[in-house]
Amino acid sequence: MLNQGDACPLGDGVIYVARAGQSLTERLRAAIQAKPDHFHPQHDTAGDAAAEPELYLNATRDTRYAHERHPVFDHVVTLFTQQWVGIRASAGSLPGAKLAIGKAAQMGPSQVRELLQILEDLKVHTVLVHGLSDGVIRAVHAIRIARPELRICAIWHGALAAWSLDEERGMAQRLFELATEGVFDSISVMKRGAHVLHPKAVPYLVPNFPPTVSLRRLRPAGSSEKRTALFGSWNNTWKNMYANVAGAALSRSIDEVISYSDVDGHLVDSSKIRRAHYRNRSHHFALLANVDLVLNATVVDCHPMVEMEALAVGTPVLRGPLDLDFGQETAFEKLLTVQSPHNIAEIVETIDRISSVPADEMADIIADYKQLVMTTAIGRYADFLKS
Amino acid sequence: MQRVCFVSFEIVPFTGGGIGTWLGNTLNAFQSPDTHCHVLFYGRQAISQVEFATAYPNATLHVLDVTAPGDDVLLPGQPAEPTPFESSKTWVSYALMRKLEQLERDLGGFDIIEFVDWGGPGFFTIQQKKLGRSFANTDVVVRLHGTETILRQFETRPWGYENLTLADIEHQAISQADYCVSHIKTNIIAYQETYGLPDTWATRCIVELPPIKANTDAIDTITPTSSTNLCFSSKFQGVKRPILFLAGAVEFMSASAEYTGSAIFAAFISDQAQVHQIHQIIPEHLSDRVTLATSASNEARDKVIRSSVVIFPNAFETFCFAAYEASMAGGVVVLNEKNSAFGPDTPWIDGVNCLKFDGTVAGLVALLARIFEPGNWATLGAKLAPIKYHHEPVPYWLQKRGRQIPAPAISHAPAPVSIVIPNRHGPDELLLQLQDIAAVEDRPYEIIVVDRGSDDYASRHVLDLLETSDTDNGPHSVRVLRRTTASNYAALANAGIAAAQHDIVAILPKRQRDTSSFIGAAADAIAAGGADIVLPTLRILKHYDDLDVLKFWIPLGGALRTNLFVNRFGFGAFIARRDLLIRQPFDEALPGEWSWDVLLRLAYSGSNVVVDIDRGPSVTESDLWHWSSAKEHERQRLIEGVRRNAWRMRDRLDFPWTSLGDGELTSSEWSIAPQAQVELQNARNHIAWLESERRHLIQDVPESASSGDGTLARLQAEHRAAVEAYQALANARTVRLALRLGNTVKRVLGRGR
Repeated sequence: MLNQGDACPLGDGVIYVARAGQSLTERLRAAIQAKPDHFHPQHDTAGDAAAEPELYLNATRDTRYAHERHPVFDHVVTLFTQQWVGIRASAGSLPGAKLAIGKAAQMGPSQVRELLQILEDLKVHTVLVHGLSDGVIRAVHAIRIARPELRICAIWHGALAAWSLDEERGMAQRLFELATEGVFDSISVMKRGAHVLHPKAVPYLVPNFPPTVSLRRLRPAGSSEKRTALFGSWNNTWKNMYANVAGAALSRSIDEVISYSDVDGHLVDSSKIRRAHYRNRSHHFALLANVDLVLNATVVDCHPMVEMEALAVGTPVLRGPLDLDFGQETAFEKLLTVQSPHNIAEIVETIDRISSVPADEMADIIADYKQLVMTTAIGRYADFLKS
Repeated sequence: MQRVCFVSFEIVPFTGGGIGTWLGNTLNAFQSPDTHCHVLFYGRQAISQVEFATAYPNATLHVLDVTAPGDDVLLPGQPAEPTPFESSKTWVSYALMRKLEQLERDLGGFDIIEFVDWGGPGFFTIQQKKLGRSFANTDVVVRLHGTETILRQFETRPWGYENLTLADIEHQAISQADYCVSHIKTNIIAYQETYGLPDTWATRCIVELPPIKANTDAIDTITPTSSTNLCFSSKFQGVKRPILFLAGAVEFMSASAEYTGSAIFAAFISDQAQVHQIHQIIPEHLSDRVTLATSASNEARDKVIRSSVVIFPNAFETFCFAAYEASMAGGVVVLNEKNSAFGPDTPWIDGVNCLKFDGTVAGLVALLARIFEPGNWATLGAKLAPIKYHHEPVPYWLQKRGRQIPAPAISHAPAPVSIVIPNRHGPDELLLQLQDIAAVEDRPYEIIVVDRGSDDYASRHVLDLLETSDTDNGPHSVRVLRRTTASNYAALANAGIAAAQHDIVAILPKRQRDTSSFIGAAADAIAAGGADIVLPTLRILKHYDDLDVLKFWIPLGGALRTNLFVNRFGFGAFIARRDLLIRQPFDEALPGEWSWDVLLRLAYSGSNVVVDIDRGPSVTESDLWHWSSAKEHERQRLIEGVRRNAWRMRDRLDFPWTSLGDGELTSSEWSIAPQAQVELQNARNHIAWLESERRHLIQDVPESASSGDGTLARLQAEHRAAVEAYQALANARTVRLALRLGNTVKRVLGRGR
């Protein structure tokens, strides 16, 4: 545990934990004195309007789909990595301030100053970290040193199966190290049962929020004569694209299957398949809000934003067994979950079953489940941010 | 009792000026139980309530500080500062409108609000009345004192953008007012010719001789002697022709050995350049006989006038109080017969109450020779006497002329409207726009989406759903027309207009949001006859989800001059009568600026264009860039196309060539390509960031300055390079920036009459 005034090794250097009551400049000095040579001010390409600053507070993309202010998130700032788009989308749904940090942000003197100023201006009591990167790690280190009184909580996205990838595994390791070192006061792994990995991990899931989307459906899902299903993900191992697309194509309930990824027509009957391109999130919502079913029967997942986005616009989601710790008895879970995502026949049956539900009944099922997700998430965050 | 509000920037005795004199005379002449006069004063002079009440005990003073109107005048959400109005006169007109709205809220409405014509201060008040928003039971009137446009036919103005906007709001205020009031009939003819106003405008005008308060009521006109002075008592202003007076007087004095009088300028100075010019041309041998008594007291001036031959070589006047005052005081009045204010259909009769000359130096010299020829006065001035003048005893607001012209009666049944949306891609934007429009649930509407070959799946899917959905929902419907990429924006808009079923059409470009309140209000105003076309005021946001308006973009209505050089109609969103757009469709042959072109043609063809300052779509600044061409050669090509089309429409109004200089200067200022402006701004931002980094590094890690650490050296080198790059960009535009600065200074300081 870091105490105020302690000298403490950090990397190759030594840092001094700031004392309460020190000025911003003194806290800044404490934060950057570990290894001055390590910090080189850098500036992204001048005049390039598309590049984001490495510390980007309340970017439009991070706030436009956020929920309204909620007391649980008062004096909370949510940190995440700019380039981790899925985690960024997840964080973007939350109420409150958002700080997007470049994955390789060096956190030089000016950036640390800026970071600390942001915390002061927003009167932050709690820092909520979603996912990790080198840039985020440097940032939370600086915060812990300069502002030891703040609570810092971290949420890890993704299942352990992803640790087959070196970068994922390395960052997971850093998560636990930072918890052990006292940088994080509490952590949550978004997978049921994963709390046994660290004593600071809370035993409950802290679910994602559905985003707030102002687009409304032109007609209820399932009410069109021509029914469309959307596979809106990448074609990789855990997204299980071919099972989803093949199952939908084989279902007589579906007239058209739209995919954001190329589908090999030799393996799947391509007569129903249509290729679409993901342009941006707003464009995606326009399509999402006007299809009848989203295909997301994945083999590895935590709490998918694909499902949260579909809930936001009232579109049912075909899903795999997510093993969440809430909602198991809901009609949504029972109706839309494929128990074995490898089983194409089951996928076809599930799609046909979904399609047989009257449109207005399905709309109620989705609305009820969305409300449950929201209520659960708010309650869990309330506990987590104080744990 | 009639409640009459005079809106003025002059009023005697607190200010000088002919308008101030007329207003003072009017307030004094028409005190009666039937009239309560109010004055809304917006001049620079501070006037206290006590001072005003002493001078005009039966009138009520309201004051507007146009530099800071105040929170009770400008309500939250309304434009609250001058910058988006781009010219001081437009801002003044707007501030006056808000003040009058406040007075209407607090005091109830006036029966008459009368504006001066100069500066177009009535423009925005008239727009609000046309929209049925305010002043429903008030006649909004403009009195013809002499506009900038009229004056500019007789004297020069420095070139500038503000000249264009000023001329345009004056023009629109005059043509759109409920009616105009003129001292004499000849002004109506002059204004009609100058502005190309139709006969229907002239028939709405009232002619009324104004009250005059003479300082002296002489029984006889003086008999001039060889020492009687020659006097110029007008202002030092080009239109008053002081140089002609001096030239005539000097030539006469040089030619006449017997004449011993002097030439006296007992004149108010409004143009130092004229004074300087006069000093330059006074001959040496007459320098002691030409006097500039510009700072004489009123008493001294009156004494000079009533004992002089008072000469008015003025090229144009709407009345000329000074001539009447001089005649009533007993002076011999000499008038330029070419000035319509002194011609037929006026009280001036040659040989009876004045003597007239032909407006030339030679003519003036010849007349002076006849006046001062020994023994000739008995014949020449035999009948000459002070003018017998009687003003209109009952002012127009008390006469039963059936003049009250009510505001457009906004029907309780909301007007149906067809909304045309030219579309390509962007299904999310289209859906959000449709949602915005759905808020217009209280009226029948149809939406016609005209698609330009959208080929992405999401767009096609959404359009298919729109086509096949049950979107013919009683009074509301959505239709989709499919076109290919060969159709440009103009072709899409024309297709939508042709397919429209209602008499009122809204053209809505993509990415302009929150349009529902504007559409409804504008449609109702058009249906009620208050307008043919309504232009919205744009709310510029940083991002579409922002609630705070960064700034406003305010159109100038049917501005015929300004819009020949820059687009001040808007960015595509407007509402108009469908029949107008059928007669004048969008020009599909143009490569861009289609909305600018069609609106200019409609304005030139006489359409009544009204500005809604309170309502309009929200749009981001970055979206507006797409509406203007970034490349200079494209910009020129587009402007030429727009002008070529407008040229064909100008059968009524001949474009005044005096505005060409204003336009050349404006075009050259505005020709800095948007991209170059972005480059300049980026360069400035980069320099600012480097300076900040350097400052923080030195402050937070002091040892970096001396440690040899390369960080600081790198920052400094980068800073030097950035400054050089910025200077290279900026130097190319130095001349244009200087011109822009010049106009800004002029705008800030203001220009007097």
